[in-house]
Amino acid sequence: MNNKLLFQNLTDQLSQSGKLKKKDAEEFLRAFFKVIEDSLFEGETVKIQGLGTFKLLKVESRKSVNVSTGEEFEIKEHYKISYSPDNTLKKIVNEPLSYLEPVELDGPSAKKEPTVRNSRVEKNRSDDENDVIDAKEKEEKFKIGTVKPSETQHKIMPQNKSDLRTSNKEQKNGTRQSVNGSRKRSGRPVESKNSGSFFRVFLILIVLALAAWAILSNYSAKKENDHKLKELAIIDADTSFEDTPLEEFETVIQDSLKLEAEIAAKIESLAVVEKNGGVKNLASKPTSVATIKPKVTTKGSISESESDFPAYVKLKQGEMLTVLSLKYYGHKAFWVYIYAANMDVIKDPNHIPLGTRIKIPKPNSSVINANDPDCIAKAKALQTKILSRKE
Amino acid sequence: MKTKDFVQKIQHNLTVNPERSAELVELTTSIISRILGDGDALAIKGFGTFEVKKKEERVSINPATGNRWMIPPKLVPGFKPGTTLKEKLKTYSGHEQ
Repeated sequence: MNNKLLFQNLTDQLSQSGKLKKKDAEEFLRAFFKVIEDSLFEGETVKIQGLGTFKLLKVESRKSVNVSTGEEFEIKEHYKISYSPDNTLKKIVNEPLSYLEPVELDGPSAKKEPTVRNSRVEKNRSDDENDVIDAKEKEEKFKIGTVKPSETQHKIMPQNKSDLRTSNKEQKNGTRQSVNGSRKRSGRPVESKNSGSFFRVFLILIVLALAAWAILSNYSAKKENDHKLKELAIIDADTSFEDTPLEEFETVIQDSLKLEAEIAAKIESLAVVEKNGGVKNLASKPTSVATIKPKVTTKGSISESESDFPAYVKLKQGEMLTVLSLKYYGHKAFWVYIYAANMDVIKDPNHIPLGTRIKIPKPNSSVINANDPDCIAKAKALQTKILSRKE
Repeated sequence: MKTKDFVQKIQHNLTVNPERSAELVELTTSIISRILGDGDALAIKGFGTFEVKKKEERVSINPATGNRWMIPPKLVPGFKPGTTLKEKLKTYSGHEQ
């Protein structure tokens, strides 16, 4: 893989498989490429079956600007070589990725951006857990009501995050700070993914509110009095929502608040899930790819493993053991097992004559399993052994 | 020019067993396909390099229906002319009609 082979290698292979003298193979190949070149310069299109089409394209003269000096100059008309590969060659080259198929995305409105997906996922989640949230919502309202004195401070703060944090420290003692800290930390990955600083400010606001509420509720009788006050305050808040613009604002963002409150409440589990989900969503392309992969491979392995083994294949042009292995076992690396089963007919696994009848043994799932990295590693180790022995 | 004409032209250029040209052309193309199929590149001095390029996946929109399709990544064979060939192209100014 990814080696750069030279003319030398090509002549070697040709002389070997064509049973030619090296000198003759070289002469032939020189003629091969010379003819392509000469024909091109004679203005001909060269089409070679199994390789592709070469032709010369004229590039019209055009004006361009020297980037460093800003001077205008003319690029003279010239020719360039265009090469379009043959369909069979295209197929052979694309074999490792041939299991991929185009997937229709959900409708014209759907967007691929991870942020959008993220928020969608979160919305779903919030739908699912709405019942759970309801209770929390109420708490939330408590908070909004009770924290009012400090909340007015928060409302001033949002412009500046650092302000928020410092005042937070001033307000709360050490233990509470640590609670806050952990909450913030686990909340942050979510928040940074899907929103700007504005959203962030609200998250922090809620975390503060939560913390404040926790403190309040944890404290004793004084706090119980406060609770009563809170209840009064909720009623106040409910009634005053329409009146004060700030409160109105709060109701508008209530949804997001709920969401964030929920996240804060379920910090550990959600953070983990979110991270996973977030990563997946961010890597939306790979997931779509990954989701197709198992489907196809399992399909292949089921249909093949139940009916067709041991299968016999006549080697066609462009087919190699790796291709067969990919087709029957779902991974390139398992060609070694096919080779092992066909040692008597295959002298050199790199050069199998066309038309060779090859037996594909029934795969033993403990050894041949495309989904098991160990199996693949084992097969690859075998592969290097075989190839090194050959050399 | 089709493969047949190509083979004929090669025959004119050969001194040793020109009668095997057709077979050898086929062999050569199959060797090249195998090299590219293994993901290797083949550099031919004075001519150019055959190599495999990876086209990344992309989202394409069917203009008629507006449906969005995710086109998977694919491997595509490509050819880059070498320096000597490029030099020749520079001095080349159209073939004589």
